[in-house]
Amino acid sequence: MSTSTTLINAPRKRTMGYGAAFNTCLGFLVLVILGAVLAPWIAPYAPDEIDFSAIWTSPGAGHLFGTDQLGRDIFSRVLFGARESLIGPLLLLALATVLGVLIGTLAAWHGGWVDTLLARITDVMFAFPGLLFVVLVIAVFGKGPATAILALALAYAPVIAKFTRSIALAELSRPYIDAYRIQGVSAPMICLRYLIPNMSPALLGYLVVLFGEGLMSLATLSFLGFGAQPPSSEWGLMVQEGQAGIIQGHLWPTLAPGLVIAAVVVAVNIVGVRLSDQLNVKKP
Amino acid sequence: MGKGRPAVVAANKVSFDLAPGESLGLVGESGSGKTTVARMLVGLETPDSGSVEIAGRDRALNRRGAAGRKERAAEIQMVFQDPYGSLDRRLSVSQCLGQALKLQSPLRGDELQRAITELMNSVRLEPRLLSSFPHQLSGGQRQRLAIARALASSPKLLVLDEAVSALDVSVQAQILQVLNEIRAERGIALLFVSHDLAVIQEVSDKVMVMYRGDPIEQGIVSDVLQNPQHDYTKLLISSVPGLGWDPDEVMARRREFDLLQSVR
Repeated sequence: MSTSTTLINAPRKRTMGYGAAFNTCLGFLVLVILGAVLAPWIAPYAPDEIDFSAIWTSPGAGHLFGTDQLGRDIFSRVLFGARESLIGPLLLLALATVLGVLIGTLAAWHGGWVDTLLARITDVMFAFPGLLFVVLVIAVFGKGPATAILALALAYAPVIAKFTRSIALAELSRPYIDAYRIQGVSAPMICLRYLIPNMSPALLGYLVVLFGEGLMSLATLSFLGFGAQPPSSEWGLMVQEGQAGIIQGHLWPTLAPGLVIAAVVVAVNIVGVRLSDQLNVKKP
Repeated sequence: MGKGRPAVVAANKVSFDLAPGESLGLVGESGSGKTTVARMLVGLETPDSGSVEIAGRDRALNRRGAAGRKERAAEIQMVFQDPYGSLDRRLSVSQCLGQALKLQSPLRGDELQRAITELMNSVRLEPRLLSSFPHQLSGGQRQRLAIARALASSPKLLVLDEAVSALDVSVQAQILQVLNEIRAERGIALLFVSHDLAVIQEVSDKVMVMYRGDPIEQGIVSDVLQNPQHDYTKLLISSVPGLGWDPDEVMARRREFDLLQSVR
């Protein structure tokens, strides 16, 4: 028998220790963002530099990820493509968040018929397949990255509205909101200055997870030809353009952007879930 | 009231007088309508019918416009049961008080700091807590901050909704002392909503007993507590744990009382 006691089940205080997976993912994301920002300086080739003497090159010393059907360097294209591929979901989420938070907060604050009406509208949006809705919007307004972002923002807004409404209801039931009302603070002021900032940690965690989904959706649209247009090197578009090579045995033009999309989405989700856990921990 | 549910009259013909510096206790068990009365007074709830009159003026109307809200805030303030929940967790002590002060008058700089310090002194919050956040304060400190915030608009009436019920006894005593001081110094009238007769006895001059939305007895605290007229008041007083207190007997009397009420 040992005299010392080891507290095996003692709760570990989670401060900075997020674990190896989190750190790896965060590191990877930082790397991708750096790559996107520094692309003009670190990319070995221009993204649209055509070289007919080096078509379908395999990955190697000259071309890290090989080249595509026009002899363009895949690595450089992935680096440059990171810009459009990352900014797209960011814009889409920004737009969807403004709309969703507005709707959700209004529904929670006002209740009654406003809440019912907004709930019905969001229900209809939910019932309608997101991608189908987006394709419909694109059919009306024409294809292109801006329309794709706008359409996806409209499709994402109800999701964010539902989430906002639920956390706003919980927040509104806390008496500090009543205290502001008794002090004579106007309703819009309470919402903008006090309610939304108090919801923002929970919202932020949710948005990080949604970012991965948004990136995937935008890549999907580009793959289908509705989003980014050639000669852009948006990742979804790259996957689509590389398809022709698969039959001839050239996997890299498809695999490289595809893997990057998958890796970024997985990394964002792992970081996002951990982050929202952390942010939602209510201080005692 | 929700559809399909029978309407419950939560508060019915409640009326009382309060002079400046006076204190009224509103007692009753859970669901007796005392919190509804408090919330209607401060305008958080609107009566389905009837009116809320203060100093002869109808208060039930939801007053719109910045001036109306400001005027109302300077008349009545409220302190809530849950000290943590009633404070914005993002605001420090000075931000919280500063925010409340600035709503009433455009104070800034040194003037604002002085007003904040003054408020903190009046509820005996140590100046070192100035930049603390609610989660760093104790329960008693939080409730004192909530009282200070309510005082920022110099109200004539302060409604305390079970304001000390969530605190332990020693802290309760401190808060009650602070409230008595405020009442004496500022001449603020207090409406003390509580289920706790001991607390009411400590801080109130007058008491009103409510049962199922109706005020059933009203008078000077000592009179009512020592010589209760209504059966329910007697029951309430005998329910307080003390020497020779028998829970079984209280329960039996309670059942008898409820039976009588349902027959009536």
